[in-house]
Amino acid sequence: MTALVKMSGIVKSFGETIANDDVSLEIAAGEVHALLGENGAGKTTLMNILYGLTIPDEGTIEVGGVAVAPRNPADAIDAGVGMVHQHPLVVGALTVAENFSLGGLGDGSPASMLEAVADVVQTIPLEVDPRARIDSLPMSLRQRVEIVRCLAHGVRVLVLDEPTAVLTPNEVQQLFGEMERVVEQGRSVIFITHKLAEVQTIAQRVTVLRHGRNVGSFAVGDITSAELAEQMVGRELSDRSAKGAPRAAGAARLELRGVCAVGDDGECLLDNLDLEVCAGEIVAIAGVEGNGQRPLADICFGLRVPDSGEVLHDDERLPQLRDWGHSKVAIARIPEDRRHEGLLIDSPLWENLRYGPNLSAKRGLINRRHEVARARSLLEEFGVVPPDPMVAPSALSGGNQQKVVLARELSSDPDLVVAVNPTRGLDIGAQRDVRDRLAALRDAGRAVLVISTDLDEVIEIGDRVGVLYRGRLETPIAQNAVDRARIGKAMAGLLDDQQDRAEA
Amino acid sequence: MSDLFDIVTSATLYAAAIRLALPIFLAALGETFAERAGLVNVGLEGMMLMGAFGAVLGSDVTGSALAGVAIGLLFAVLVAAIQGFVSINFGGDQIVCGIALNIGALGVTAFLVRAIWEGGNAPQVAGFSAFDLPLLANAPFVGVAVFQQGIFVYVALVLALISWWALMKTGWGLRMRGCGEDPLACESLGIPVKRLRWQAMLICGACAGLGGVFLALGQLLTFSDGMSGGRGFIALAVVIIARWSPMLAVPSALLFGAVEAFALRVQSSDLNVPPELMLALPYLATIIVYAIVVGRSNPPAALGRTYVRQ
Repeated sequence: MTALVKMSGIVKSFGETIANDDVSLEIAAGEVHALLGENGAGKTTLMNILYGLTIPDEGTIEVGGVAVAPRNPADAIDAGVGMVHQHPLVVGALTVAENFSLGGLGDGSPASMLEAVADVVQTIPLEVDPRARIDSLPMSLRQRVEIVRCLAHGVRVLVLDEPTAVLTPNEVQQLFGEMERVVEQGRSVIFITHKLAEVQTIAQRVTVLRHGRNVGSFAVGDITSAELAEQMVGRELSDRSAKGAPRAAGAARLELRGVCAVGDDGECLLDNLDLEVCAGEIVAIAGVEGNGQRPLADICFGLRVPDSGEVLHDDERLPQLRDWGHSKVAIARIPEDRRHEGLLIDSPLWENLRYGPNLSAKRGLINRRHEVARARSLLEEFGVVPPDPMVAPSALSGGNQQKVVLARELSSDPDLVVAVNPTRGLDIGAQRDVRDRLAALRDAGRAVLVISTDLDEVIEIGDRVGVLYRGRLETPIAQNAVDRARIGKAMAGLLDDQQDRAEA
Repeated sequence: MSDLFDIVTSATLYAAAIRLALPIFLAALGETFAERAGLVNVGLEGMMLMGAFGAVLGSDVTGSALAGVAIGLLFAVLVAAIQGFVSINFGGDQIVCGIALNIGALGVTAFLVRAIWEGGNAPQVAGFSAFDLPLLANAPFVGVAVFQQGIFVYVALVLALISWWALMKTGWGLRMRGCGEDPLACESLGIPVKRLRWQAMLICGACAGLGGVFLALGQLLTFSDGMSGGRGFIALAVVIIARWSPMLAVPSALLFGAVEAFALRVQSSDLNVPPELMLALPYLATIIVYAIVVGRSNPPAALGRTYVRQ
C-alpha cells in the first residue's frame, strides 16, 4: 500500500486541553478513509492541521511522499489537500462565481469568473446558476459548490468534515456517489463522521479517534458496527432505549392553527401550518435545516408572532417572551444554539440556573448560599460533570452544557417542552441521556415538541412524526406507521402527493 | 427670505460645498477600504490630524508643498500602522484602539506644535492654491462652482474612480471584500487575510491623511489644534450612507459639505438665525441622515469582529 498522506506523531494542545495526543494516520491513494470519533475526539483538529488552519506542536506530515509543514491553507492547497468544512466556508454575500474566483479561478473580472465556472462545470457537474448569491442557496448546494471548487483545484486528498450533517438522505446518496467518482480517479477522500452506518456504507478503511488518541485503524470489512462503537466510546454501549410505548395522549397543550410566517424579503417561511401537541406525547418534526425550523421554533418559544393564524397554549394565546408575566406559564424552551441562546456561557453555573421562571429573590436580594445549594442539587440530579456551581458553562463539554440547559428549563416543572435539535453535537452517551430525559417527561404526562434535523432522532423519540419542507408541515403520523424512505422523500420534497397530504 | 434664496442659488455656495466635502470624502474613501476588509477604523480623525500636522511640518522644513504632502501621508500611515498592529496582529478591540488614537493624536500634535515652533503657533507654509481649469472655468455657474478648485478635488475624483474599479472589478478587490465577509472562509481558500487587511488599513491611513493634508495645505496653510474638527467622525457616517461604495461616497460627502457651506453662509448673512444652531447643523444632519439610512444598510458580515487564527 502506498500512503498518499502520512501524518506521524501529531501533538496539539489548546491551553490545558490536549486535542491531539501523538496521533498517526496513513491514507492510501484511491480510498475513502473514514475518521470516526465522538465530538471532541480531535478529528477536526487533526484535519485542520493537515489543511494548515492549525499549526501542530509536534509531528510530521507527508503528502505523496514529500514532507510538508503547511503554515496556512495556501500551503496545503499547493500540496494537493482540499478541505470542505462542516459549515461550508463559502462567502454568503458573494455569488457562486465570485466564490470560485476567491479560490483562484479567473483573474477576478466578472467575465473571466463566469468563464472559469463554465469551464469547471463541463467536467464536474454543478447544477446552479453561477450568478446566484451563496446565501440564497440551500446548505446542500453550498457544500456542493465548495466540493466542486476543491476538485477544480485538482486536489489529491479531499477532506470532508461531517458533510452529511446538513443533507437529506437522498442528498447523502448523491454525495456518496460523488465520493466514489473521486476515488476512482486515484484521489483519496478523508471522511470525518460520527455515524457508524455511513462508515460501513462508503469507507474502505476507518481510523477511530478517542480523547485525542488514535485507537486503531481497521479495514471496514473486518469490523462490525458494534465493535466500532465500542472503540469509539471506549465501553460497551447498550442498545436499549428507555422509552416505553406511548400511552394515550391527553388534552392539547400546544396548538398552532393556520400559522403563517413571512420573511424579511416577503418570502413565505411557514405556510398555513397546523400542529397539535398533547399531554403525554412527543411530537417530533423532521426536516432539513432551513425549511422553516427556525421560525417554527421561535413561534413556539414565544419569540415571534405569526403573521397570521393563532398559537394557543392550554386554549389561551401563547404569551410572548417579551410580555410581562410570561414566566408564570410553565414552558421549557431548549434552543438550538446552547452556547449563544441557551446559556450565559461565561457566567457561573449557579447564575445560569437561577435565570429560570422560579427566581427566589427576597425583596430583590439574591440569597447566594441558597442559590448555590439549589444549583448543586440540580447539577447532581441531571448528572452534570463536574457538579460545581462555580464553574462556567464554557468549561464544560457540549453534553454537559446541554444538561445544564435541561436542568434549568425542567426545574420549573413545565407542562410543555419545546426542544430544537436537542442532541446536536453531543456524543452517543449524552444523546442517550437527553433522549431518556425527554421520554421520562412524556411518561410524566408532559407535552413534548422536538424539532430536529436528525432523522434517526426523530424516528427514535417521536410518538408522532411530521416533516417540515419549505414551510409546509406534513401532518404528523404515528411513529409505528412511519416509512423511513417516505420521510426521506418528504424531507427532500419529492412526494408527488405532497399537496394532497398537506390538505388532508 | 430673498437672502436665503440668494444663498442657495449662488455658485460660490457650491464651490464651498465641494471644498468642505473633500476632506470628509477622502477619509470616507479610506474607511471604505478598511471596512470592506472587515476593519472598523474609528481613528480617522487622528489620522487626518496627523496628516495635517505632518504636511505643515514638512512644508515648513523643506519649503516645498509636495514634500509636505509626502510627510503628511507618512505620519497618517504610521498612525494606521498602530491601528493595524493592534487590530490585525493582536486581535485588539478596533473601536477602543481607534478612540485612543484620536485622543492621542490630538495631544501629540498640540504638544509638538508648542515644542517645535516658537510662540506655540504653527507658521504659514507653502501650499496649493486654487486655479482655473482652461475653458471650463468660464462656464456659467458650474465654472465657479466646480472648475475653479485646487488640484486636490481632481485627485479625489480620480481616486474615487480607481477605488471603485479596484474594489468592485478586480480579483484583489474581491478577495479584500471576502476578508470583510468571512475571513475564515477566505483563509481556508489560501487567501492571505492578514496581508490584505494590512493593505486596506494602510490605504485607509493614506486616504484619511490626504484629507488632513488638504485641510492644511489646500485651505488653512497652517496647523491649528484639532483642525480636523470632527470630519473623521462624519466620514464614518458617510461610509454607511454610501453603503460602502467608493462612488456613492462622493454624493454622500457632498451632502455634508453642502450643509456645512450653507451653515457658514447663513452665519455671515443678515439672516437672524442663532449661530450655535448653524454650527451644529452638519452634526445634526449626520444624525438625521444616518438614522434614516442605517436601518436599511447591509454592512460587511465580519465588520469589526476580531479575527486571529490559532
